[in-house]
Amino acid sequence: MSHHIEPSRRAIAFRRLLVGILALALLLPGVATAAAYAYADNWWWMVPGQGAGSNFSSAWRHNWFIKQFAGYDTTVTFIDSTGYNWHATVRNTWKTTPTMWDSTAVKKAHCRSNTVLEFGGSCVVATN
Amino acid sequence: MTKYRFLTAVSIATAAIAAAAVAYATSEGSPDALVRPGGAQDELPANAGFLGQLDAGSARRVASFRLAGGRERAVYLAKTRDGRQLCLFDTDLATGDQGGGCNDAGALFGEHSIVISLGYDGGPSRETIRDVRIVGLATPSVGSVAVELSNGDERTVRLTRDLGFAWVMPQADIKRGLEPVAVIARTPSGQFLERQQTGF
Repeated sequence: MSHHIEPSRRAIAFRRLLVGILALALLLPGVATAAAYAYADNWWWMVPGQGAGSNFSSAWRHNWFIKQFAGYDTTVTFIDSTGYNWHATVRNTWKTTPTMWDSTAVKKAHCRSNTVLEFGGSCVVATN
Repeated sequence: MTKYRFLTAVSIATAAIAAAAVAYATSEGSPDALVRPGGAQDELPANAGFLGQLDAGSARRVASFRLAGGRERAVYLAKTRDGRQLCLFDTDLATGDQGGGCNDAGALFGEHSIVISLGYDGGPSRETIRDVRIVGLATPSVGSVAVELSNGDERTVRLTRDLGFAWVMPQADIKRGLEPVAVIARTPSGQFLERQQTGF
C-alpha cells in the first residue's frame, strides 16, 4: 500500500537529492553497470510496521533506507524466494540505513519503519 | 546607498552570521579514529559491499569480532566519497557483506554519546534468528558500554582504543529466549549517560 501524498517543497527537494545520490552511485567507478530503483519513492512513513518491498531478482545486492533526517528507527533486509527467510538484516536510527548481501539467490529488498514518529524517506535497491 | 538597500544588506549579513553560528554550534569535530594515521589494518576488504560509495583512504577499523561460527568481521568508520556523511559498517571480511548506517558528517552523534546498529541473519521468526550483533561508536565522554538483556542482565562490551565496539549475542542466550533490548553508556566513573533501545 502506497502512502503517497501531495509533495511539499521539502519533499521535492528531498526527491531531487535522492535522484542525485542515485545518479552519483551509478556514476561511481565499479558501479557503472549497476541498476537501481526506489521501491518506496519519497514515501511519508506514518506507522510502525509500515513496509515496502522490491520485485524479486537474483541480481539485487544493495538495499538502502534513505531518510530525510536521522533519529527514525528503520529496518532493511533481503527476503529469499524459497523460504521467505530474512538475510543481512540491519536495524538502526541512522539517517541512511544500508545493507548488502552478496548472494545469487532470488530475493527481494524489504524496508520498514519501526517508529510511531512520522518522517519522509525512500527505500532503494541496487544490483551492485 | 539608499536606506532601503542599507537595511537589506544589514539583514542579509545578520542572517548569514546567525546561520554560520548555528552551523558551528551544531557541528561536531571528526571522531579521533578518523584523525589518527591509517595503517594496513584499516584497509577495507577489496570486495567490501559499499567500497564504491566510500572514501577508502578515510576508512579506519574501529573494532573486530567473530561470529559464533568463527567468521571474522570488522567495524569500519569511513567518509562517503563526497565527504558529506560518515558511515559505520559491520563488515564480513570474507564475503564483503556490509551493513550499518550513515549520518551527516557534522552530526555523526547528534545529541547522543553513542551510535549503534543492530544486525542479524535469519528470521523473521525469533526461533530462526542467528548471529545477532550490535556494533557502535562512542564519544570520548563514554567510559564503558553494556548491552541490556530482556531479563535485566547486563553484558559489558569492550571499548576499543578508537572507541568502537562490537558485541555478538551468545547462542546460549538466544536459546534461552533472551533479547538484547538496549545499549547503555556510562562515564569513566560509572555515571549513567544514555540508554538506547536496539529495537530488537
